[in-house]
Amino acid sequence: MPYPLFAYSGLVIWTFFSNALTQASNSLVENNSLLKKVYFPRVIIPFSVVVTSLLDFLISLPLLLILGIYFGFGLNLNFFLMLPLILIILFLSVSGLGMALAAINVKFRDVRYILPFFIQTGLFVTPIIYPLEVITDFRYWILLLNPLTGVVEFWRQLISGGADLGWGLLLLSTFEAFLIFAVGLIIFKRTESFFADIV
Amino acid sequence: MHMEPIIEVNGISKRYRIGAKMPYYSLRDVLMEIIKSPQKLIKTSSNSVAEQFWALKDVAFSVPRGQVVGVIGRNGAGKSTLLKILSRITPPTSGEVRLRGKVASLLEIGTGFNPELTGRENIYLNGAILGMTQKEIKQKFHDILSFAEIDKFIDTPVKFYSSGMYVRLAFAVAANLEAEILIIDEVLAVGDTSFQKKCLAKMGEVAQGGRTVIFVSHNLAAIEAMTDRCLVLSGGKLVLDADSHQAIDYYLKSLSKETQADVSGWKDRQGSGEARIINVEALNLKNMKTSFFNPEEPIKLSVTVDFKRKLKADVGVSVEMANQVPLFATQLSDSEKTRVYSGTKKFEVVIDPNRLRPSPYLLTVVVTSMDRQQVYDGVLHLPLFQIEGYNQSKNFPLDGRPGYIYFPFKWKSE
Repeated sequence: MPYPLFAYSGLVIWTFFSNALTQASNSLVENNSLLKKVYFPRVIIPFSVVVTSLLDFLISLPLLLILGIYFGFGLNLNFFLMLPLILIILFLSVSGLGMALAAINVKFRDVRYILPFFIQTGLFVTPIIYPLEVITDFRYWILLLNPLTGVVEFWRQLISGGADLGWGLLLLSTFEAFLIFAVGLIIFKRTESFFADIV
Repeated sequence: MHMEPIIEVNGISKRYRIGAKMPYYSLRDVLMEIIKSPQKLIKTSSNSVAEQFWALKDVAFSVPRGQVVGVIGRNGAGKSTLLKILSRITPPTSGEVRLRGKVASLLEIGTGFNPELTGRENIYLNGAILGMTQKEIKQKFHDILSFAEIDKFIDTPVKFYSSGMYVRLAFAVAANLEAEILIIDEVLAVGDTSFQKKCLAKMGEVAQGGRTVIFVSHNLAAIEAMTDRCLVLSGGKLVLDADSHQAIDYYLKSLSKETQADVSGWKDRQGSGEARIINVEALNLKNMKTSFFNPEEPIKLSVTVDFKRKLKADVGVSVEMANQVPLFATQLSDSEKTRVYSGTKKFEVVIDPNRLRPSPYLLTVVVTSMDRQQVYDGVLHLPLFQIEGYNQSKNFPLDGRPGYIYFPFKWKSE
């Protein structure tokens, strides 16, 4: 896979991830007037932000496909069949993290200033600008803890039309995404009743 | 058949933490605190009692289906907190609330409006935020539009709306909510008089339709007209739960018992300070200090001024409506030749005949030079007294007549 396509395919996912996470973690504070004056299920706020980012992500896909065709990979059916699966895993992991950070941000207002540094670090612990193969020692196992690792690898295989899609890694990612989502939801649910008082 | 009450409130209390500690928590500060004094990690410091504030304390009541209940009380009595708990925005610290029906609350007009969207889009957005389904909004769309009177501008972004149009649209959406329990905070204090009347009429209609309404307002006339029953809150406690007439009466009486507006701490003040108004009182005919006067009852105003040096001064008072528009003014030089004053002097004027209609009034008191060019001291818009119109004065009903002044003109018919 040529490097421009390699990097771009990873960056598309990374851009979605970092945008959605930043916005989701600020979402409660930014909508404080709604929180204080209207009752509705609070999770809608971070979810809606993530869904909006997901739509932006979809809009960016044609460019990726054009780039793929330019480098001679053509369109393949698998890509479109697996897209929903990718979207679900991305949604779960981003909204899980987003819910937790949004809830924490309500109490600790400076989280939003600290977060960009961590997101930037995230770029380097996800195989976005380098292939996973170059990591061989114990750091490989650390990378596996990142739910994006499996998604990005799988994603690249889809685009290049590779035979081995990397189901093992994707399964791990799915599991991690569900775990993150569950933990995020629990944190959110346990703190949400007090949002209106402290936001 | 015995009907279960639609709202049941069992001894709810709400505690807020206040105090010198800043409310802006930051992770940075928390980390710094831990680094500076790690022992705090082990024994978590609990907030002292002084930092606690009970916005509500042991409030209990229940509301049967279809009743319209008013909530009255002074600022800070806990009215808004009660509404927030009832509409599930914030949980009570203790006690429980049971609601047997769909709740819609309107605590602030226009919450969730997006200025970039058109009126039409905002109707859908706001309706969704307040809990209506798309189908319901579609059904109600025409009602909302005709109520808001903005047909021409429905496809204009609301950022171009006048504030009146904005408020009308927001209330129209809320008023058409299909909920069994409607919770409304002081939202009628907006818009012009005719729109306020329309809102009140709409709310009356809502109540006729068998829905339960909880309604907070400082507009006692509206409360009396709208509600069957009233809760009086004071300092977070439910002090009276009775029919509206009785409750309003009780509330007004309790207000008059509290000390009158304090001049020394009054913020709205002007003047050079060469003289100082140290006391302003409203007295009844028995020379008793009070805030409440019956219609036509003479009001004696007493102003005590401390002159810092010898001054030739005039003292004036003007009686204003609640919106600070003056009704009439009178001054010392109308009645007697002014002299040079020094030290502490008392000035009195009796408002008689008293032609004020039932309403709260404000008082502005000034001490000026003879030519009124220089203001030595002025206390502006002091809420000193009200004219009662809710009890015993059968010949002076609160009948919704316009105007603030009343004269006993004689009519004749053929």
